[in-house]
Amino acid sequence: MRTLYLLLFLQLIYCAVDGQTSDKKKLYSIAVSNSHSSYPFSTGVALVTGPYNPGFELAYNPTLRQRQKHEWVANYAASYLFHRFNQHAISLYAQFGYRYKFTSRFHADGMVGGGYLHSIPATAQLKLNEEGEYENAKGIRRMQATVNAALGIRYYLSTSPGNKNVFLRYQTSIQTPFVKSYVPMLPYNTLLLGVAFSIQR
Amino acid sequence: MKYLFLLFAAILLMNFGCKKAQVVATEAVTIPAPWTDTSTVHPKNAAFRSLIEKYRAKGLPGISLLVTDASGTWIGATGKADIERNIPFTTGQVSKSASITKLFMGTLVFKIIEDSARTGVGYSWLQQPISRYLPTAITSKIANGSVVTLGQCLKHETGIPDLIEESKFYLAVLNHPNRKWKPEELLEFIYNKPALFAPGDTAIYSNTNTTLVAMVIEAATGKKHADLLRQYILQPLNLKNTYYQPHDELPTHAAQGYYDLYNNQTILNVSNLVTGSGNGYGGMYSNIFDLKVFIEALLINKTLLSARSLTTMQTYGKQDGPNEYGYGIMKKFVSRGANAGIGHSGRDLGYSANLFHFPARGVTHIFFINYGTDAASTLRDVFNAFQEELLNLTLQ
Repeated sequence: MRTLYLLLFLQLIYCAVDGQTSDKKKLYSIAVSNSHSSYPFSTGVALVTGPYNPGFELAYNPTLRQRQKHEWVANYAASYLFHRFNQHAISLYAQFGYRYKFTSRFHADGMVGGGYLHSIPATAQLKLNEEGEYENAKGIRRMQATVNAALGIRYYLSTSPGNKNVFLRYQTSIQTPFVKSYVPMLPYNTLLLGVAFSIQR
Repeated sequence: MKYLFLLFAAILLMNFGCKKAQVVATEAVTIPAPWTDTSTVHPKNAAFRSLIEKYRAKGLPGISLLVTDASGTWIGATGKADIERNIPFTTGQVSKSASITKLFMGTLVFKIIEDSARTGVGYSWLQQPISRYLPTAITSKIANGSVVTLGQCLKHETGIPDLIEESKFYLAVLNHPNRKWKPEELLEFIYNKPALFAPGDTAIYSNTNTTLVAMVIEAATGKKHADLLRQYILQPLNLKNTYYQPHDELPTHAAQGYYDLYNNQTILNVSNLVTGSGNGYGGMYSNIFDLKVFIEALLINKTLLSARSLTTMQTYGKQDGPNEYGYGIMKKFVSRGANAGIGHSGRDLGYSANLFHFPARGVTHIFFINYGTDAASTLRDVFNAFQEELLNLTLQ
């Protein structure tokens, strides 16, 4: 039920924003990622050199408000992360933020957001049955909340507004409640490399 | 766009191609007892069998148990070594003995002392500061690191924080599940942390202490402590079923380890979340047969160490909860007075083990369980009840 409420909430946000931006180009993005479990913003080049916990993100990125040098932006995303021996994490989240245009081609942004994370254990999860034997605990998945903050840069391949751009985003997110007694909040740092493109209506 | 997909494919390849699990799917292998098994004629045969079956049914995945008393040796096993593949947990099952590794390390220190003609260290080694052997760049960043002695490390009287208590450590284990940690990398988790107490004031168990012992051994001898363990203990005792992760490749019949990671009464296979094995405080895999040989040589027949070493080793310090510590050895269940056990316990993420001799009763008990019992789960209570009932049964 919580999942349903969350999806409805995200849908409402999407509709509200979509209404405001219906006269603009629709920007979508796809990105690949590597994530590390570590304290927020504490991971540096290791996100490039490994270890690799691969993932990807599909997103819709509308511009909410636009000025000559500034933009208020949003990112509605669905993502997947595979963390070996730990979990498959599928999340739906919304991010809102501010983008500054250094030049017509080079922009930087900061965003905060949150959403829902569906955690599927990456190793066998077993449950004791009434006969005292363990069996696969099929169907037991974990509903988690996630909050995040991100810093990113993007480079536009042409100077026309809303055109294709490549972006690099450093994102820290917290998954909770993870393990009550040891790791109640599991932080991840993620580096995403992606491309955004527009689809004309 | 195609470049993006290529990048994604490359990341996936790197992830799947470079990391080999240290604990692979368990194969069924029968390791027979190296003696004629007379368990069925032991007067407590039915009681011991009933005990392990009771606690298997309550959720302990796999158990192997050995009890030696005046009536002989009873061995038995139940449950699964690999639940997913339906592999039984057998009496000779190789499983992780976790911190029982520390008892091997303590024994090794005394073996090195006894071989002073070659190693150049004597009993005074125990009183020497670790800073004599380890670089200042390390000891200066560890609380009390410049003053604690090798002996205080063995007796947990250093006040040095336990690296495995650090949340950063667990995040790192999640991040690098199969990593073969170097001791210096592990020490970084407690660098510049405040001391828990002044050296010698009291005793609080800290895994960091035994990592420092391993480092001092290597600095003093110029040899790897894993090689010395093999040279001084494993080979002379012919412990063929004992492995030191990750220095030895684990056999394909090693048990999987399980844990109620999410505290929701389900268990997960956590065999390959490796918590710094091979750095003195944990990592040894063995079975009840090999541990029996070891504890008999050490504490019962007393053939492994000299009388002086054994007496020194069993000089216990201040009480830490239900435990007291000698030099690398643990006296547990001290609330039972004369019926306290001497040896060591082992608790790791997915595994538990006990190796104790109760001299007042002439009893030894050894068990392996492939479940990590320190989680805030009702299974911890199940484990504690098992241990308590076993003690009551064996010490009657």
